[in-house]
Amino acid sequence: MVNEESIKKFSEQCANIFKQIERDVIGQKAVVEGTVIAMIAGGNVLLEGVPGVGKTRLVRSLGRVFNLPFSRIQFTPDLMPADVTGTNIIVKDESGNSTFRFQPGPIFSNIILADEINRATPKTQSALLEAMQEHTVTVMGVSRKLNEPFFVLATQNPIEQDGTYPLPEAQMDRFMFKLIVPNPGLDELMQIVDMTQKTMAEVAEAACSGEELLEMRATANQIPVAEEVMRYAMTLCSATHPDSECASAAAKKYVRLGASPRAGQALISAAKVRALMHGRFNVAYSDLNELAYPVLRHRMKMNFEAIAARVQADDIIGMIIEELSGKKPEKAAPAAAEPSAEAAPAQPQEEQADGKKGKRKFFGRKE
Amino acid sequence: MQQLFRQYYNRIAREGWLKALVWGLAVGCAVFAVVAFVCWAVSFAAGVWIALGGGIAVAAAVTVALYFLKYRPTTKAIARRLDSLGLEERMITMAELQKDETYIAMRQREDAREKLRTVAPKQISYNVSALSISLAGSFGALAVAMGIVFGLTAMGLLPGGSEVLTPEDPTQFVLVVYSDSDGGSVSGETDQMVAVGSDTEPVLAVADDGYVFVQWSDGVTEPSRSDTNVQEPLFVFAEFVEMEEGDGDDSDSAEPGDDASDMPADESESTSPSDPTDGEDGGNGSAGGSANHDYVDEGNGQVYYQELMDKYYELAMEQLASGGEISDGLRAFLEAYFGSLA
Repeated sequence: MVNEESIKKFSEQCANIFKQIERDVIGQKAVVEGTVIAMIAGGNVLLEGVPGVGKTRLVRSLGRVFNLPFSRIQFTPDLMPADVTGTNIIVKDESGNSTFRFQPGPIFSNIILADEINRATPKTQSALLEAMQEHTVTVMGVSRKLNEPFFVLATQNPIEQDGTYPLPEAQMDRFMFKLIVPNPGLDELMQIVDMTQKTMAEVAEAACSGEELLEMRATANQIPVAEEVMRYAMTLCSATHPDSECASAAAKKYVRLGASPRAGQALISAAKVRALMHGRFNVAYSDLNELAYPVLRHRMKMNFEAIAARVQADDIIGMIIEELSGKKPEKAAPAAAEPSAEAAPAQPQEEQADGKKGKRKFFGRKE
Repeated sequence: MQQLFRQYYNRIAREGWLKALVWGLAVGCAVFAVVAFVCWAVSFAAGVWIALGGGIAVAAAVTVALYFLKYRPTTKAIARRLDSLGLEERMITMAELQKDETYIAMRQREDAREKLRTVAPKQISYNVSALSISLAGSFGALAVAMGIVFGLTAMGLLPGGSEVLTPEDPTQFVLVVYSDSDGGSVSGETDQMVAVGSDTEPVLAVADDGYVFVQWSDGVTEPSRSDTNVQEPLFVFAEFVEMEEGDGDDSDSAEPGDDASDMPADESESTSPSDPTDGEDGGNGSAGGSANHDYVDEGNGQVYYQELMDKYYELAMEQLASGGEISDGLRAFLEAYFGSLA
C-alpha cells in the first residue's frame, strides 16, 4: 500500500543509492541512473562498452549498495550451462549410498554479473533465459526458484568480436535495458585516476536491502499512467515494426524486426520508476522518450540498408520520436539522475519553450 | 476540476473562437469570391450583394460549427494544453484520475495543482495554424479583388464579365477595289480594306481628255461613289468611252450626273479650260457651250469643262428651285467645284 511514508522512503533511498554509487563510480551518471531504474523496475541490464570504462566496477558497487548476494560469472567459450545453473552431483551419504544432490551454480544469487556474456556459446547463453524471465532454474527436470530480487547485469565488449557469439534475439529481449557505457570525460578521468591512486578499494556502503528494493518497486508500480501517455508508449514500440499499422518511416526503411511486447512492458515499468525518481507522480512523455533508447535499441533488428548506411538503432529511435512527437529529441542517453524526488522539481518555465516547438502527433491521439 | 481550469478555459475558448473564425473567414471569403465571380461572369450586377450575404452567412455558420464541434475546449483539451507548457502530463493524468481516491492519485493531484500555480493564463499563447491564416488571407484577397472588379464594372471602367468571357467575333474586313480602265482614272483610295457593314471612302471616276465616263462595272452610273454597308469583297472598274465628234449633241439628253466625269482630271492644270477664268476669254466656252451645248471643240477635240460644269450647275439649281432633289454624288461633285450650293 502506497502512503506518504513509502513515497518519502523511496525518495530517500534513491538519493542514498546514488550517493553511495558515486563513491565508487566517477561520472557515468546516465548509466548509473539507467541501471538503478532497471533494478528498481525488476529488469536485467546489458552494459556495453570498451574495456576499462567501469562496467564491472559499477555492477560490483550495485551489489554492495543493495546489500545483496553477488555472483560473477566470467563467460568464456568453454563455459558450460551447468557451470552457470549448477548440476546434480553424486554424493555418498553416511550409510555409503550414492545419491544425487543438486549443487547450485553461481546463478543462485541475487545479482549476477555476467561478464563478457557474448564470449560464451549460445548454448551456455541460453542457460540464462529461464532465469532471466521466470526467475527459476530447471535442472534434470526439477525447477528451482531463484532468490528475489534477481538481476542479471551483463557486460559485453562491442569491439573485439573475434571468437564471440552475438546474443540471440530471445536473450536480448530479456534485458530490460541495454546501456552504452561511454568513455569518461576529461574531468571524470582526472577524478578516476586521482581516486584510484589513493586506493582501489570499493567504499560504497549498503543503501538499501533486497526487501526495501522490492518495496520501492511496489511503490513505483502504483504511479498512474494516463491513457494518452500509455498509448504513446505503445505507439513508440509499435512504430519500430516495419509492418505494423503504426510503422514509422524510419522503421520501414531500416528495420527488419521491431521491438517485442516486452519492450512495452519494460518501457512503462521503467517510466514509472523514472517519474517517481524525478519527483512526479505520473508518467510523462519525456520519461518515455528518454527511456526509449535503452529499452528499444537492442530489440530492433536492422536490415541490410541500415547496415550499409551505418544507421544505428539510436538514430532510428530518434527518428521515430521526432516523427511521433513532432520535435527533435535530445541526446540519446538518458539525462543524469536527480538524487531525490523532492530535490527534482519540474521546471515548467524552461520546458515551455520546448513545448511550443512541436505538437505531438502520435498515432491514436484523441481530441 | 472545471473550477481549477476556469481561468485557463476562457483563454483557450477565445483561442478556439479565433481559430474557428479564421477558418470561417477563409471559407466565407472563398464562397464570396466564387459567387461574385459567377455573378460577374453572367453580368448580374446585384449578385455582389448575394455573394456578400452568402459569404457572411457561410463564414458565420462555419465559425460557430467549428467552434462547437472542434475547438470548444474540453477538460482534457485544457489539460493537454497546459501540459504542453512543461507540466509533463500532470494535468492530463489529473483529469483522468479525478475520481480516483487512492493515495497516489491524491498525491498526483496535489503535485499537479502545485505545478499549475506556476502557470499564468497569459502563458497560453494563441496558437492559430499558419495554414488557416494563409488560406484566409488568400481567399480574403481574392474576395477583395472580386469586389473591386465588381465595383469597377459597375462604374463602367471595366467591361462586364459576359463581354470579357464571351467576346464578340473579331471585326472582319473585306477588300474593295475601284479600278480604272482605258480612258480614265479613279481618284481617291482605290484599294480599300473596310470592315464588314461599314462604308467606303468616296472615289471619283475621272475621264481623260476625249473620253467620257459611262458607268462603273456594277452598273452604278454616278462617277462619284461611296459604297455603304459593305458585306463582301467588291471589285469594280470605271468604264469610259472615247467621245466621237458630235457626241456633244448627245449630252443634251444625258443626265447631268452621267457626264460629271468630264470634269478636269487635275485641278492644278491652270491652263485647262476648267479654269473659271478661262470662260471669260476667247469665247471658246460660250461658243461651244451654252448655245448648242457643244462642249467639245470639233476642231481640236478639246473639251470645255467650264461650260460643262456651268451647265451642270444650272441644271442642279433648276432642280433644287423646283423643289426637287439632286443626288448626293452630284451635289458632292458640284460643291467640290463651285463651293456650297445655295
